[in-house]
Amino acid sequence: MRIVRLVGSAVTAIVLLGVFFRLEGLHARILLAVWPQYPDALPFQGGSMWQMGVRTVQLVLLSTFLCTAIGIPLGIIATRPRYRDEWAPVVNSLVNAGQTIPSLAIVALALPLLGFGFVPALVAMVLYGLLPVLRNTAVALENVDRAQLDAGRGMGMTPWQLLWMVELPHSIPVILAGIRTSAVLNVGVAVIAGLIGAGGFGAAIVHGIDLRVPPLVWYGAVPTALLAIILDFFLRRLEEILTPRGLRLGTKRP
Amino acid sequence: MSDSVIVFEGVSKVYGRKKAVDNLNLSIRPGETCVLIGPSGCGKTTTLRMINRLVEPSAGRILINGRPNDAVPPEELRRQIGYVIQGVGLFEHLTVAQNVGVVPRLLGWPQSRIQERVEELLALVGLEPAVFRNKYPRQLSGGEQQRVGVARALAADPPILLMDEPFGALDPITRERLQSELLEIQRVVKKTIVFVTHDMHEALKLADRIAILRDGRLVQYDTPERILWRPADEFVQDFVGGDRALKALGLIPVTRVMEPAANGKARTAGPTGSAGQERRRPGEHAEAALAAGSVPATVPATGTLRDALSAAILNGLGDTPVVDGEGNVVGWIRRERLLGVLAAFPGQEAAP
Repeated sequence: MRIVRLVGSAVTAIVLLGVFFRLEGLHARILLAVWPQYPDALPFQGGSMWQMGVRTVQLVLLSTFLCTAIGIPLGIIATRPRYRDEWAPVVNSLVNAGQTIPSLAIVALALPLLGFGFVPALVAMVLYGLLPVLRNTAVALENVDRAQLDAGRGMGMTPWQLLWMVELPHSIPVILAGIRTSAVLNVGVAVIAGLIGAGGFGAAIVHGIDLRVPPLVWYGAVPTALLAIILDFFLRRLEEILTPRGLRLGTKRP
Repeated sequence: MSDSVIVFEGVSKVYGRKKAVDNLNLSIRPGETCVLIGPSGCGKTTTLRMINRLVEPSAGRILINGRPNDAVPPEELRRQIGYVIQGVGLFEHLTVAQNVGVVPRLLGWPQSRIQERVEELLALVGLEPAVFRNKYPRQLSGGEQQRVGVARALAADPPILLMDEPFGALDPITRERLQSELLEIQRVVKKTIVFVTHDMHEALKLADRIAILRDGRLVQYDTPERILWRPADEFVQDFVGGDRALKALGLIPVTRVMEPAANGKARTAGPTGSAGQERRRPGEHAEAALAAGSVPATVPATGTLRDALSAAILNGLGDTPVVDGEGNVVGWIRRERLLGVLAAFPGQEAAP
């Protein structure tokens, strides 16, 4: 039942985006009609909307996946009793420092260190998007009800069983919210990554700004915004569906 | 000593410079309910948590069935000891049935056996399985949650049950009811129970033996009767309270001073039931009250001498009816007998 709803949401999101990207001719005509003074602006030489869309989605999904795969284990490690005392402050200051650095700076730093292209952009996005996942995982695990932890331990759960059977199920909503934040953030960084040749919608936007051609900027910006909104919507649904039923009862989460 | 289930041998626990538990020697007999009681910070919870090694002692050792409790890994030890806490700690993402089945699942029981056991236990703690099985903790009242907590602790049929202020967060009425139910359950399951509380009333009601702790030291370990009649020192005396004699009366069943109603001819102690029934020769006061159509104070047959005294006072120390669950008079409390028993008390009842 859950899996059906999950797949349903995913298919809806993909179809909506796919259709929008495929209608590039229509978008181009509308934009050129609004800005008739730039007749040569579109089609964009850097690639079709479909190609840019695929590249952007690749960047976002891959970076979000890596953020999740790295951030959740780090958050778990940072909250284990053995490491908590040393690691919790480190994680905290890292998260705080990380959020004060603009994404533009991260991308700019990636350029001299890693060069141009897809991989440097991906690395920058992972670095930036890691923090929300890490922070939310650590916060969620820190806030699991003490009584339930005490009960679990007192009933003879090993630390792993406690993590798997009690702590993680309770942390799912907050961890997923972190992943959602990270994913939406990464859409924005993916655009900025256009500066270092990562491709995607960023290429059109950067190019459009360079050449002072508004329709080109719009040609990249509108599908980017749509991608962010649909991603956010889908991940909210994912949170709802994956949150254990017993936790959705009674108290409402903001 | 050797037949004790749990034995503390010179156990201490030191936190920094504070001795939470100081050279504790205590043995708890099988099937008994041992209540640990004392003011906050007396070390009672620490003592309890050392039994299942949620806290490791700084010195001394704890034997469970003659074996040191650190002879096996802590998780293995804990799965054989039921654990109930004040916060209940039901897993909110699991159903009632899944909560009760946690320890059996950890022990690798087959699913069918777990299911069977869950049904059995829910019934035991007074929760209709068909109604509660698939509910989630957040859908339950506090009292229902703690019933599930007790069922969960009993799931793998552990010989020992540790209860850390399990009813502390409940309203007084629910608390009383759960205490009574615990006594009922204990009559069936006959566990060795270690129960922590700071409520003397609760201790007196539940305990076979009470251990009074102060600043980590055992002050007195005795039956409730002896604690009340023979407090070991001024601290215990103060702790049990100035009304300890009345509390002691609360330990004696009313049947001890009751004069049974003759011929088992039960009557109803209300104006309606009394009409037309054969009149025995009960006390004048109650008789007058019955005749006048007013209800005299009555004592339930399951009550205590304390209840009897209270009701007798309300009846002007006149004869007081003892009634069963349906309101039938099963006996009488007579002034002379009551006063005689009270006058004879401290000497008689101090014996263990």
